[in-house]
Amino acid sequence: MNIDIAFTNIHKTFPSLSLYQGLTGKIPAGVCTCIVGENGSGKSTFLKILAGIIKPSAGFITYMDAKRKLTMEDFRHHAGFLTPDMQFYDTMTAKENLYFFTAMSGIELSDSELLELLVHVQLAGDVGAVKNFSTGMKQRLKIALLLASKKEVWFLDEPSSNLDKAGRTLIKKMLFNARSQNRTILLATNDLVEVGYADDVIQLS
Amino acid sequence: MINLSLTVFTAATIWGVFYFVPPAEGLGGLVRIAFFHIPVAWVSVLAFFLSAWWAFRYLQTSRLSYDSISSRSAAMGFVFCLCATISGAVFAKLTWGAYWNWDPRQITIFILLFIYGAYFALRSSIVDRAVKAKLSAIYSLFSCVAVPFLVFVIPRYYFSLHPEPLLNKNGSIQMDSVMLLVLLICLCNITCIFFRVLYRRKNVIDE
Amino acid sequence: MQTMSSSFHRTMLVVQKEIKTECRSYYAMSALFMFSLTTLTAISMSIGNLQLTPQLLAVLLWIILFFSAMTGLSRVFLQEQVSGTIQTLRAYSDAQPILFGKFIYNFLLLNILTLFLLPLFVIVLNVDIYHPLLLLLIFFMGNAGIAMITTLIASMIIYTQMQNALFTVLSFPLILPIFLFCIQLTEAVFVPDTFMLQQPLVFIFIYDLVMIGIASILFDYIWYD
Repeated sequence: MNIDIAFTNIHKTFPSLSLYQGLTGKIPAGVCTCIVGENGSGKSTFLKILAGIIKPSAGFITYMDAKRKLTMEDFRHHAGFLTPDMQFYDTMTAKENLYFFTAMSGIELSDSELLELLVHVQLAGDVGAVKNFSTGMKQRLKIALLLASKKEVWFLDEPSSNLDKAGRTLIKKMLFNARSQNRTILLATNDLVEVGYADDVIQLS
Repeated sequence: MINLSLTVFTAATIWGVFYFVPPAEGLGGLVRIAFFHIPVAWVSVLAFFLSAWWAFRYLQTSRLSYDSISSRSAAMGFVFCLCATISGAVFAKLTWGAYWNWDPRQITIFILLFIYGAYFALRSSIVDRAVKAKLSAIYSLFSCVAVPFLVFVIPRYYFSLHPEPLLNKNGSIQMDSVMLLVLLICLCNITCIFFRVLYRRKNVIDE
Repeated sequence: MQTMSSSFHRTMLVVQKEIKTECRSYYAMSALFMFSLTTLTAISMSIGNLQLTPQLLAVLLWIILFFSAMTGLSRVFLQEQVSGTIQTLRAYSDAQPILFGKFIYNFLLLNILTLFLLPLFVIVLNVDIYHPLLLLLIFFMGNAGIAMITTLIASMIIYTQMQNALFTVLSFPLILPIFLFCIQLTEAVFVPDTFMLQQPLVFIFIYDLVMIGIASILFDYIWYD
């Protein structure tokens, strides 16, 4: 499935500030697009608006499959996320969290598949409940969840944050694989290395 | 023009209540309070349902003007409800000796007042305009469903000090025809006042 | 083997997850149980040897249950918001399994509380129950309505300030019809006369169904922006 995302006349204002007005453009399918901007320019908000998680103050988003227009509800089933505000259940293990969230997104994974994913993100082994995890480990778990859910469109907000060198290599491999599979990727970041992975850039000012 | 005709209508209605309505059996001249109490009570319920209807329209369209009119209707409904409660309490004191005795109809009007209060507490605790509109609409609709149970079911189930409702279980109307006519005119008048005040600032989006 | 999980399975997963996390922290249960125990103790100590009428006993029982519910049932969403897991849930899950999963969990919690509270209530206040099965049915039906209403309200208050106070204020008018009828039915169970109050039972059943249906429709608007 190739989904294009078109955004028309997007405004977003909060009670205390106005972020942007009149944003119009298109995110083509199969392309890795980077959203860049200074701190506070609204990169994460724009990402969430494109994903349909936040409503814009004005304007609208259209999701087009090759054949037809998708409703917000349809589109949600094809969207995967990796954002800083996502958290996991502290008292559950990585495997339990992974199983739960993938099952909630509609995919039932077997024990061996879960283990395989955890090995891939270097979280296998007896690491205990998530409350003992460092932020880097939690980030890896988010990567595992994104990979497990097999969504066609990815929304990533600063995916390399809190990761060590090995973790950053993991991100790089993940993005390269995704691009070779013609996955649509939206990446909000200030990290120049991550910007380097993108085919296209949207600059917010 | 509208304000003038409404004022004349209201004046005529008040005159009618005092000069046309004969004293009722057992209640005497005090029955005149009922000509204010019953219309405001009914209009407060009407306001509530209208507020819920506009709340539903907001959820469908996300247009803030619907939320504005919904909350204005709720605000007026609250005022009318308060008037109904107070006039009812005065009537209760004069006829049954106590302002409040948790009579089932008093329970339902109190609960309506409570729902209105909860609605405004909810609105005042949210800063974001869109979130405020959405959650108020949801609460409005959710409580709208509870109201028929409160207004119609509970009083009919419990023993009541209240006079038999106008339309009793058999469906027949138990009131002198002159009084009934005047009551319906009062109802019409109060409803007109409600809509006139409500639409005073149509299409304005309130904060 | 990758399979697609059904809505029912996802709902049960949520229930399972709630039970699992609760068993590892006892956050809600301790609030509920301690509150009900404290209230019951306070009542019992205050009345001493005084014999209470069936009506008063019914009122007290439901007041304890209601206020215990207010202390513990908002946790299903408040905890998710505080820990940040709600963001992950909103990213990956549909609305209905979340609502029904948390509703079932709250319902189970209320029933466990009832089973804990009732024997203590009977012993401490010296109550005679003449229709025990009916009493359980009354609580079962009352708890279902309370559970759904509180679950929906809990999902709303995560966006507000003064969350706990608002939770009680918003829930009370909606729970009141259940409250009033359940008190009346419970009173009838505390007297030896034949139970004749079928109509209120039907009302509660209808009210529960209506509330569950409406909550299901409205929750989509809360969950999806």
